Amino acid sequence: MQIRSKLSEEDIKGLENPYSSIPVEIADIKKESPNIKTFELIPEKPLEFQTGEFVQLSVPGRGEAPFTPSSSPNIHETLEITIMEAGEVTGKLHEINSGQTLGIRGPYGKGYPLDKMRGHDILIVGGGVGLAPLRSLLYELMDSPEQFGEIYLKYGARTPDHLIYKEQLSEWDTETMIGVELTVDEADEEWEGKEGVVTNLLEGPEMDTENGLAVVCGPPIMMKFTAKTLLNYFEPEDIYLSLEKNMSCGVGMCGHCQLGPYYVCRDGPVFTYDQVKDIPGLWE
Amino acid sequence: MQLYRITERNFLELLNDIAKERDLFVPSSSDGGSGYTNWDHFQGSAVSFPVTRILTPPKVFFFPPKEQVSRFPDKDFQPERKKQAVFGLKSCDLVSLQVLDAIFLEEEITDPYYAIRRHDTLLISSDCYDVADTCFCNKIGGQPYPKGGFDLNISRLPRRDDLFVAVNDESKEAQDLYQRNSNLFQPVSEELLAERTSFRKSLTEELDRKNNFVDLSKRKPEIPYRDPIWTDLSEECVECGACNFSCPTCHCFQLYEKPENTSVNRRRVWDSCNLKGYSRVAGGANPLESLESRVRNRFYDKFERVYENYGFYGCTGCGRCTDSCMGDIDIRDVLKEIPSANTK
Repeated sequence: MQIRSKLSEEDIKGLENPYSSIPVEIADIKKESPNIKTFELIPEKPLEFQTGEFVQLSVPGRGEAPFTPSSSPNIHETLEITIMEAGEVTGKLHEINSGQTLGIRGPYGKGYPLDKMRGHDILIVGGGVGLAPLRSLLYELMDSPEQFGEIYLKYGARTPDHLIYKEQLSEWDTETMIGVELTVDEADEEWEGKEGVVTNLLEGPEMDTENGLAVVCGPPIMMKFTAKTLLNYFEPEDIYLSLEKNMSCGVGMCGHCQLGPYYVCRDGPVFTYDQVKDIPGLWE
Repeated sequence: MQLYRITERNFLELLNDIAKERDLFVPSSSDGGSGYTNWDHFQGSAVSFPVTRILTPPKVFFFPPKEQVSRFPDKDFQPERKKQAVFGLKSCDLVSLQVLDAIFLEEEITDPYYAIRRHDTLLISSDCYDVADTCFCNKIGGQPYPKGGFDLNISRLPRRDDLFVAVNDESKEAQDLYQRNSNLFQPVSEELLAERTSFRKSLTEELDRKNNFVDLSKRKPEIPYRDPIWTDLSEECVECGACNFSCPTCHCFQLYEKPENTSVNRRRVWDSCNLKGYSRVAGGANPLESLESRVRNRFYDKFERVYENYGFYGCTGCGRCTDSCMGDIDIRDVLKEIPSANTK
């Protein structure tokens, strides 16, 4: 039994404070959809993250919320975070303007498994604001396309108006090798694409699913049904899900993000379906 | 481990010496129902030896109910260093620190507040003198006297005026204290040692008599997801969170921010998985919306999540949750009912 911590006096003096945020300035705010905005942020010092890891962004005096950056992990001087208005902190974020200072700490968690993705076809499935972390992944993949196989993006939103990154979606479709397919739950008069839920786009994928993997991010109900459909084509350990829980500390200590044996902040937020499939109440 | 005898008077001398360089906390009374008193405010002529663990969990010395953890935009905000010593800890209390160590002293990220206090705190434990009605450490692999993890273990024996002291060889601080105060200590007789062994044995037997159910050090509880027991418990539970706050291993906290002049203080406050808002996310979804799911979660956390992550339970068998429950829930009644399987 330990009488004291194993840490030496030197270790103790060198400890970093994981609860301390650095200032980050809002350089620009772009409206993506009726309830989603992308914030371009300039941190006081460059913030390096791996795609899929998350940060805690705070409105000083109001509180923090966890977000996975939507920008390329290879750009460190600025980062972008795409935020849907949902609760107290995100509500406040939607009220504020460029030029204001926020707080940021991180990155935390385990991001997308690039090592496992190299040399394989990748199917990326997004729902609503869930495309945000996937955009960061797409940027990373496009920075070195020769390392990966074919890349397919299937993305769905409630209405055409609710699709985010509209310009990039059409750019990816026409100017890159990414196979982009979109759908909306409710079409309007101008919509010429598909109508229906995103799982409709997954029947009989055109890729080599045996050697490929799938990455999914979206609302819980979407991920539940997407994972179920993908199991027809992929092994459970090749389906990656981004899970979201109430988080406070971000570093595996405050307890809130518990999910079965895991802490989502420490062991996730990206999990394989295989890791979480037996957790009762997974989608509750 | 070096064993000595010390008179009560010399024990006070020793505490005085400790208090010269540390904030020393001693039990407020011997009944275990209350908390600790700072030595500077201590008014008694004799220090109380709590008969069993004190209701206030020892985590308060390492992870206080509320504390400031950072200030924005002040990057240099650092935890304060303060040497302290606690007397009156019991075997289960020392075990609880091993659990908190696993949580707060992760290899990748360490909680600097907990780490510093753990580093700067001298632990003075003592044997249990009696068995509380709610104690069941014997079922979790524990015993009513510490086997290690302390600097000094100082105990009273029935019908003896002198005290029994163990100075831990693994503690440099304890060795230094002994060297500096060696005149206060006397050799221990074989007779006294035999008396201690026999008293320890009788207490252990009493624990076994009072707790005649499955030995959880050999059988691991398997927490069912849906089970009528959670419904039954949810009818008793009044959602006060006392089980969490009195638990020596419960570590949940919530960060919140408080503006002060031109800066913003970030603080943390103990949280409770028993409370409805515990797992609610932005937008209102709440995986632990029902009280059934929350009472289950507490058992799942203690006996499965912590076990799977660290290889031991998040429960020490101290029984504080039972003592403090407004709904008269006895954790042992639950453990008796849920299924278990052989430990690996």
